[in-house]
Amino acid sequence: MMWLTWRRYRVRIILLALYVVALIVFMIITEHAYQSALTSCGFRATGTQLSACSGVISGAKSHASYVVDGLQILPFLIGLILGTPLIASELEAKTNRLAWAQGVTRTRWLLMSWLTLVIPVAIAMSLLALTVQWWLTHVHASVFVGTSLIQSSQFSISGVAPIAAAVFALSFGAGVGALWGRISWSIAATSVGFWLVVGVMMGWIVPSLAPQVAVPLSAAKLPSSLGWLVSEGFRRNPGVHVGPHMSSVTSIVQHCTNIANSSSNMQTGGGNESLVYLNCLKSHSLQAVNFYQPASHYWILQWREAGVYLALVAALLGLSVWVVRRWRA
Amino acid sequence: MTAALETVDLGRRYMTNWGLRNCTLRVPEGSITGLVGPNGAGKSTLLRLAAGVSRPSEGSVTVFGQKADQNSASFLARVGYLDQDRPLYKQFRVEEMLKLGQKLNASWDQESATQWLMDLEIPLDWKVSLLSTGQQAQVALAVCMGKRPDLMLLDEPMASLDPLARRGVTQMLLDSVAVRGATVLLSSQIVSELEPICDHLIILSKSQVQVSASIGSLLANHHVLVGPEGSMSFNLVNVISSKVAGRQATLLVEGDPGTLGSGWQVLSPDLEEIVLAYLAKPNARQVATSEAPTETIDRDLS
Repeated sequence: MMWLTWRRYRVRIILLALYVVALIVFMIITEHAYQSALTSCGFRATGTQLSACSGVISGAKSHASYVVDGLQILPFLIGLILGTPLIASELEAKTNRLAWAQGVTRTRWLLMSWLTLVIPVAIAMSLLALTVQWWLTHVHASVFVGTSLIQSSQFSISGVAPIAAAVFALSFGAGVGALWGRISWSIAATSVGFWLVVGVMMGWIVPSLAPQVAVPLSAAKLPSSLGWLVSEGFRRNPGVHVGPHMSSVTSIVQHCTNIANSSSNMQTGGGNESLVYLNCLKSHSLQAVNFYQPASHYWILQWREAGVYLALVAALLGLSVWVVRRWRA
Repeated sequence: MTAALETVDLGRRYMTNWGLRNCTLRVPEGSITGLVGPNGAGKSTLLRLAAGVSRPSEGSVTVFGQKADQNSASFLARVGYLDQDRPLYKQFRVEEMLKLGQKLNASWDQESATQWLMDLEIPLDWKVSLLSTGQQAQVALAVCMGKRPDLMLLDEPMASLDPLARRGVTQMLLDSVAVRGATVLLSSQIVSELEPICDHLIILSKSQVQVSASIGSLLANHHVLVGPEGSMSFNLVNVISSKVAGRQATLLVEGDPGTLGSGWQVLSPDLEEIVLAYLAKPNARQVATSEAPTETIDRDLS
């Protein structure tokens, strides 16, 4: 059974493997070149960003963005190239009538086919995850200066979550293909659906998988290495009476914004309008806060995100089995 | 005889149309049963239901006493199915199609399957997509036969084959029945190609079973009556077809016509005449019980 899936998908598997290898090689080569360039421009010796190194660092930043893009798109490619045709192409070419009439039950056929693809996907993604971790720790100090691994782009390409995301993409493509039964429609639905799920995951679900830390806003700028800025909001100071005409948060914020704007207009030099704004909020017993996922939550979020993806995988696999078992000519 | 395949009030509805309805029949174990009927009569639907590729909208279909269900490994092990469309993995080589059969079936006969295709001079290292339609049909048949199933459900296995290949397929089917005791249910549009191999016949028309009987009983129970028009009086006889040419009437009837009036003679129809008479009148039904009398037919083994 595994032979059949391998035979059907070997070209696609090899192409994806080449892509993974290319990413790994690219990371190794650019990191190597980058490190020697940093040494020669003097960054190594002083540990600070000399102006002589700015060219090297901006070059490395653009390389880093290729890596980030290349890694972010990989689960999607896996879903599209391996997942979507798993069931849909059989139904479309009617080869399911051949395959399912052999001595292997439909359920076994599906689970073994899926497993045959999941194993190389998981291995490749794990190798990639190790390389990414190594690459990030090496380029991190200078390319992503003052940031933390938990911040969006780095978080989404590192750790264990991308492995689970790739398995999810595979299962998502397969499930969509089972429901549609046509390759073209399944490709369209997988493309839209996958990015929608990723958006919802990164926008809403992952930030709330661990308690967020609320940091009150002060006039001084918060360091970006604090963690992943999830949202900006307001907190009411307890026990302080808020006038009835100022009861809603939006009206207070509007009121204080106006005051801050007028103060900046009066003082031509400007500069302390944020202080005025914050004081105004304070006088209405409101506090502006930023909600963070701190850097210390990196691994717990990684594992929990992976857990959510794997729960989705289980659901999608169940759906696919159900569709395949019930399918009839 | 025990039934290899049995259906009771079997029906399959596609949206608002019935592909097959009220189908009750038995295919005896060890028989070669032909399935005939016009296009859209429900032949492929019946075969798909029996193979578990499709599932009934009503009624039941059992194979060796077991529900036809592709989610059951013991069912799959006993049934071979050749789909009308001959689905194959077009990018596979011929030998890889056989390997597929080997990998997916416990009772695979690699030697026979390979020999079968080599005898037909089908290059094993060619891609399936490069083969002719007839050759692809032979590869599909080889995968089905290599499984050595107890029941073979073949949807028009002779279609797109040349006369020589048809003879080869006929011989192979007869061999598997004689040697392994397999049961075959095969559909065809051409009665003359079924006659030499089949011992049972099912005629489907407008999604319903018209006839299901052994060929021996069909031939024994049907008669052609020829006589002067206007003097017809036959009681207790099921008239399947009648035509009048000049003053002479020709009837095809089922059952014993008894003593006939003067000027009438009784002739024996051949199978094709009987089948065509039924197909021409989709509402005609066989009245005699389908199994009686059972008799062995000498098969043409040449």
